[in-house]
Amino acid sequence: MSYLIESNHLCKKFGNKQALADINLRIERGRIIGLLGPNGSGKSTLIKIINGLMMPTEGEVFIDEKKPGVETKKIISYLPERTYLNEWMKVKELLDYFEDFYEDFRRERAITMLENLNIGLDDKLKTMSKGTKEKVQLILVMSRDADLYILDEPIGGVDPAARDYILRTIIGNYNENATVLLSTHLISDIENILDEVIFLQYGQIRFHASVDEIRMKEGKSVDQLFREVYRC
Amino acid sequence: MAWTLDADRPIYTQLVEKIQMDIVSGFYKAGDKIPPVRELATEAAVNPNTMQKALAELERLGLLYTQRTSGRFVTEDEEMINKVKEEMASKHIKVFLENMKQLGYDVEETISVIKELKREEEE
Amino acid sequence: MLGKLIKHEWKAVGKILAIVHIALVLMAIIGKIMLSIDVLSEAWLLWRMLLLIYIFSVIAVGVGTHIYLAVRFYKNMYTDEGYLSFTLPVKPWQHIFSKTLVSSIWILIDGVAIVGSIVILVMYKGMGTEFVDVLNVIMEELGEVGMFGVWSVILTVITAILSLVSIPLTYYIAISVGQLFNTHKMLASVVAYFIIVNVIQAIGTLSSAVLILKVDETAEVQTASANILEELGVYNDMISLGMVEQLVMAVAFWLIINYIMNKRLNLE
Repeated sequence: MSYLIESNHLCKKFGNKQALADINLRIERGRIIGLLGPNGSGKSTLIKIINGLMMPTEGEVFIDEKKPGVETKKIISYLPERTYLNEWMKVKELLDYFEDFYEDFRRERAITMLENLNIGLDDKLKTMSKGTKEKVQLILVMSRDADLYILDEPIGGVDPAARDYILRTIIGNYNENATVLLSTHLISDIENILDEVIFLQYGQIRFHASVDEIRMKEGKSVDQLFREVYRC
Repeated sequence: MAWTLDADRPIYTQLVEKIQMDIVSGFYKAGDKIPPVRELATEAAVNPNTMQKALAELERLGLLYTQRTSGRFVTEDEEMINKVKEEMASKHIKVFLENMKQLGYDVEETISVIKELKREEEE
Repeated sequence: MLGKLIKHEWKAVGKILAIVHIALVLMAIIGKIMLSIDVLSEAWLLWRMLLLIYIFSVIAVGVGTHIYLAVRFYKNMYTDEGYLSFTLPVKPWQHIFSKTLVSSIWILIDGVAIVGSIVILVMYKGMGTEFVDVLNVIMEELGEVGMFGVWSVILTVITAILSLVSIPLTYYIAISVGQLFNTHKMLASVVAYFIIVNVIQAIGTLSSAVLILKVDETAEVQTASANILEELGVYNDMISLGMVEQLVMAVAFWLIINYIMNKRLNLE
């Protein structure tokens, strides 16, 4: 069976620090997966490597059986944990930009979502509140028909209403052929929409299981389990 | 508004229960069309895969059926719905009686309490 | 994809650079008009001040343009915006190419605008015809040596283009090298820039000196009656050397920047 993401003995070392150690990932299509772990557990390093923003020190990773490069960037829609757009651009210009570089960008979808939030096409990012900026970035990312969506802390630092909106946008844009990889530490808020969770600690995968499996076996929520696992 | 779900039980089980309740209580009547998976999932704020699993289970139980191009419908078999209703009622009652037993009431005493409450309400 | 990168790069930097340069030229035109209607002949203090303002403007625009283009590269590639740039489905060399191209064009426009504004201010009647006369003389002399002269022109143009292109490439490589450090990246970039510029200059001076000494040995260039052919020959040798150096430098810088972006990227 071919996995959407597959890594073999993936390692990353920064000087003396081992950020990722022997990561062997098997991620299938059509899943919503939570990448969980405390700061320093290797989440962002792993995400950067999958996105081709960083090279591993050892091992390899394949997205749709290809190594990170131009071809994988075409099918990955990435939402980093920061404002990565030029703040002087107008919303309309951002739509043009995404349309230009991404064949799978669906402009009408983005416009619908923007209208729902009363965000004008002539608005500049600079004039928006933090929450609105984040929603714009999310809308752009989710308006692509990508095979893999990687969302890094999409709901951190955002009010509950916005959080709700973001989760519904993710559910609403779900398609059986694509996978959403959500990296976060706010588990209780998103647990209900996850299929599987991957726990990272000290650069290693502690475990990779389905949410319902965990609830059935452990009799507690993933959030509770997470707190126990990471209490030390 | 998201459906209220317990955090320590499997989501899929709770979805099955909720939709079953909706059918039994008449929110969805026999033969009604139910919303598509994605809509239900968004409303419940859960993963569409999990919702799909729950609906599949309800199909297996015979409460729902799929018409290839038109969508999912509640069964027209009212007898079956009633049977499920009775089963759920039995379960609730068993739990209730068990709770009352813990308080020290046996079945007979429990029935008396219920009759007394009914009388008070009618006054 | 490359065309799109170039288009967006142009849009991103074009607006502000155009405004600033048009303003400079307008300033010169207004200044010229004021000079010709002799408004300021009495108020020489005012005249001095305006001249000062103009000179500052020229420096500001010139230096500012270079700084703006360097900072633009840094911001778009190595800060938060880098998360977008490097996840676009394009190869890093296409980023380098589009930015180098657009920056070079603007640096050229900048030079032309500055020179143009100065010319506007100092131009006098008959300057045009004098200029044409000088051009004609040059053409005549070059015409005498036929193809040889054309070759000199070609070499000069190529070298000029290479020098132009290496200006932004030098900024880019300094910035990229700075990114290799874990802390004080800005400082590292600035230091790298100065080191690179000085090393390049040293190599250039050294190689020219060697060439001159060599030439001195083999030809009697010192004689007053050296004909144009010999002069051109020397010129061609020197400019060829410069051209090769520029080419090697540009290619080396390109390869290094590309390597850093491909294998040593480390966004915060």
